[in-house]
Amino acid sequence: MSLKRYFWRKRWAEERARELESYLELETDGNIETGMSPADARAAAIRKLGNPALIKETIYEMNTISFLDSLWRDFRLSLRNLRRNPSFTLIVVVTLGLGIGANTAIFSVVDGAMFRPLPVPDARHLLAFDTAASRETQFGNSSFLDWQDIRGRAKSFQDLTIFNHVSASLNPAGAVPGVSAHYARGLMVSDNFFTLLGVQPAIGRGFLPEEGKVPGRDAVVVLGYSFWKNELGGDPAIVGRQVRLNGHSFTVVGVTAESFTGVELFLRPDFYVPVMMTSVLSSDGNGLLVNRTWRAFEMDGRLRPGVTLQQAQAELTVLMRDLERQHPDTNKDCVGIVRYEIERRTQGDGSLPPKILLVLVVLVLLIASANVASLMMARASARLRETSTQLAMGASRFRLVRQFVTESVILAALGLSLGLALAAICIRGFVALLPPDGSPLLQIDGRVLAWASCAALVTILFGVAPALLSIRDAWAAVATTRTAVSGHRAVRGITRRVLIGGQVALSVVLLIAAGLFSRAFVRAEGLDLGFRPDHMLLVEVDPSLQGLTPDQSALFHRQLLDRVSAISGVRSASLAAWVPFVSGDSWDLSIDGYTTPSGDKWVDTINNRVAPGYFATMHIPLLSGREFAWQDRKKAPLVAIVNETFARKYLIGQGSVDKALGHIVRLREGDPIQVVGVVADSSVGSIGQPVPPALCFPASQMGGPRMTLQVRTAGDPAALASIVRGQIAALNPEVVPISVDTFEHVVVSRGLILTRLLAVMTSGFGILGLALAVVGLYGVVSFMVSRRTQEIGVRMALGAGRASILRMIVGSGLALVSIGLITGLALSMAVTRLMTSLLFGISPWDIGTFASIAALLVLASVAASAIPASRAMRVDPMTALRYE
Amino acid sequence: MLQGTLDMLILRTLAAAPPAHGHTIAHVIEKRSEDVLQVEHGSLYPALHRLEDRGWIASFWGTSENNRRARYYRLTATGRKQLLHQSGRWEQLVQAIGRVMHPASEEEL
Repeated sequence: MSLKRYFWRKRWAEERARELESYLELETDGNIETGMSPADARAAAIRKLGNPALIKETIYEMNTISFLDSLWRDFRLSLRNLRRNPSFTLIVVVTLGLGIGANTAIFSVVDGAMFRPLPVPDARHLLAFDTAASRETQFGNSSFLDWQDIRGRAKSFQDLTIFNHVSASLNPAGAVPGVSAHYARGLMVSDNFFTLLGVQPAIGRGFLPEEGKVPGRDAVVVLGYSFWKNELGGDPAIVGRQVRLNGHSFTVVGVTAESFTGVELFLRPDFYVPVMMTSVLSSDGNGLLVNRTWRAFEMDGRLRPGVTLQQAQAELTVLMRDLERQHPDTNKDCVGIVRYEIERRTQGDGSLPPKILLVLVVLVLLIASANVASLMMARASARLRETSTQLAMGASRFRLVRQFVTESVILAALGLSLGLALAAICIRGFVALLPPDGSPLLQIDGRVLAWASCAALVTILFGVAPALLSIRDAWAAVATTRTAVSGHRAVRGITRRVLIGGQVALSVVLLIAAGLFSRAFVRAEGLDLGFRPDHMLLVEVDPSLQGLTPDQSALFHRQLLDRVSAISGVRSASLAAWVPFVSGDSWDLSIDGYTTPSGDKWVDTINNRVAPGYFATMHIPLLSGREFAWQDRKKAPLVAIVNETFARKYLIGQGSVDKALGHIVRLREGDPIQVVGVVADSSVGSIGQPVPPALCFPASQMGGPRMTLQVRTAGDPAALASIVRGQIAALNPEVVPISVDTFEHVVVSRGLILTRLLAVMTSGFGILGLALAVVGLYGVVSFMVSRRTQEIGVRMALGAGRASILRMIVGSGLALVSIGLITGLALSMAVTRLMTSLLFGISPWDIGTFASIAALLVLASVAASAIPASRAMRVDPMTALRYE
Repeated sequence: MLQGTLDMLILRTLAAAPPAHGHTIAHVIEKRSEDVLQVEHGSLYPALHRLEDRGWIASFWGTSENNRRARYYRLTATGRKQLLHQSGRWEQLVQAIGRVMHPASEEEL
């Protein structure tokens, strides 16, 4: 059938009508000629022709693409139906929008932070290695030498690559005039890095095999696409020009493809350099290339075709055992594990919060769907008369089902649009919340859309089910001419109850999770860190990035400290190699007179290098001995200050900490270092966890060039930032701070952000879930009241008091809720156990939280049933009895 | 009437005559078949519509013998080809049925 006919079918219909009329005239004329009266002649002509309406219809249908046509008709009818019930439509669309929106937003975050495959070809089959794993941990980075040995010997792999994070001051002045130096983050990679990943550069080339051979020879750099585009102006002519990294000239040989954003979801490298250039980029010379214990590298690889992961693992295990035999000093107990990169990423502790969020947000969707289902059901039963009339008039059952499906699809589409809009707003909010560097890429892309559509599909399925049920009812109604049919009412009663019970149960789970996370957040915020982060400004500086020697850097730091201490409004100031919650460091230590239970010589111990006045500035109490002084110089005897846990665990056990003074520790088997002080325990970067043994060395003896200045202020620390920057510039205009932040913000954004995020989000979900459940309950109780109007009338006519009617209705509402509540509490006990590690010591079965949520739910459901109950109370017995 | 034969009859009617309107076509078919084929006149119009849609016949508005407006149909070139094709097949069908009904020798039974 031609489309032209389809669109011209109105005209055609008129045309044919005229033609039929013409036939009738001609036939009538003929009949008159045979002697009939005009009236008889016309009647005979019509008899001869047959039913003109039917003929016209036949012709009309010949011009119709019936599927398209009826679809359009369904669509218009649905729109009309939905517009006739604006409040119903609005509630359903908003419910769906919230459910789908919450899901889409959370999925985009969780996917962006955890599950998205890396932007490389065949990312699913990329392998990740751990070569220093142990019985306790499944994770452990690789050293350059181990990588070389494994790569040289293993038969199971196409190739293996290593990479390591570096930061450097990148000065593009030679290549892009007018652009100042940047503090840039990059990757130090083996020469086969790009080849193995299978990514092509946008411009220029990747690295050549020769560039992975000789330390310090090939000063070449590949730039990250977004860094090149956004910071360096995006000029393709940059390839072949020179940029300066930490003051050394590097030739730009290429720019990565736009789609390649690195090998981690959280970090988009600004540049890539060959690992052979490590001496230029770190203060440790070629240490990374020659020390088997310097396990700084992540190792990725790909399987040789035909080799299974199990075979590869078996070979790796053998190779690691060989390495252990050959290098017992360095590779003792080092276990090798090979996994798919995406599996390794989703197995760690960090994957728990996203998984919890995902589960909770799916619960929200289920609640929303259940709500939509009960709304659809209520509406379907309200439309029972209409539906049964349609059936009686000969509408096919299929047509009615299609009508319901069309309506559900329209509702879901509206809900989906609203949801996506809400999600887009939420995502923008998240992006604003997250630190600008090192946050995952958040966006609504194909994967997120697919998730949203699945969510919408779930709601459609929920919406259609009650509609189907109602058609069955309508059939029965055709037969009995009654609007309420008892047979199926029982079935639907149960369905309703299950829906409401389920909603309540799921809301209880959400609310309890929210309650626990909120309590955990409050507790975490109030927990004593062992130091005071308030009124503290942190300024991270590394003068060596501008080419200052270690001695010059040390002098710079000392001068800076003096200048900053002199600023008015500064109470005290100090320096540390790292700051809790930002970074950390641990070295192998031996302790005279102590051996570990397993007989190891060395214990890997957290340590920091700090300037005099550090503990006073941090407000960490000195329990015994002294703080460091500037007299603790390189030539002077080496000294250390330990925390109480260190003293008790390794040095003295019980008793006065004074006895710890004078004990000797060593870096591996190095020179003796005397303990000169004991300080109280303080957090090294986690909240609510036991403080591990830790110690500090004087920056003047073991410090590096990169230090964080800590400034304790009398007033708002942020207000001093520009003055401190000014002092740095006054000392050396080339030196730019790596970061400037208040300590409080650091603690919240790095230590508490997750708990806060979980608390805020689950609270949002919980409130959303509760609201949906309350609305659902209100609907069901209202429906119940309207169904029982007669019964209530009879009861009142027989003398039942208003109070007893109120009790009856509220009671039946509570009965509905109680089953859901009990199920929800039981379900919560199972779910919250999984959250234990995120609760800062709050019991996952916290009685207070469980009890208050139960009370909240009971209150909410009393309120939800009280409104329809009060309507029931006002029922006039006479009206109710006349109702039928 | 056999499915599809009405189309053929219409085409055949139009092939021999000048353009004719629906009323004429119906009566011609009836008369030629000596009233054996009772065309339900109503069913003629959907058939005409179908044939015109396929481009086998074309139509125009004209004035009838007794001054009535009527829609006239004529055979198109494709329609003529179609008629040849259909009547050929019809002949074959008739002969085949004939051979079945009146076998040349009863031995074949």
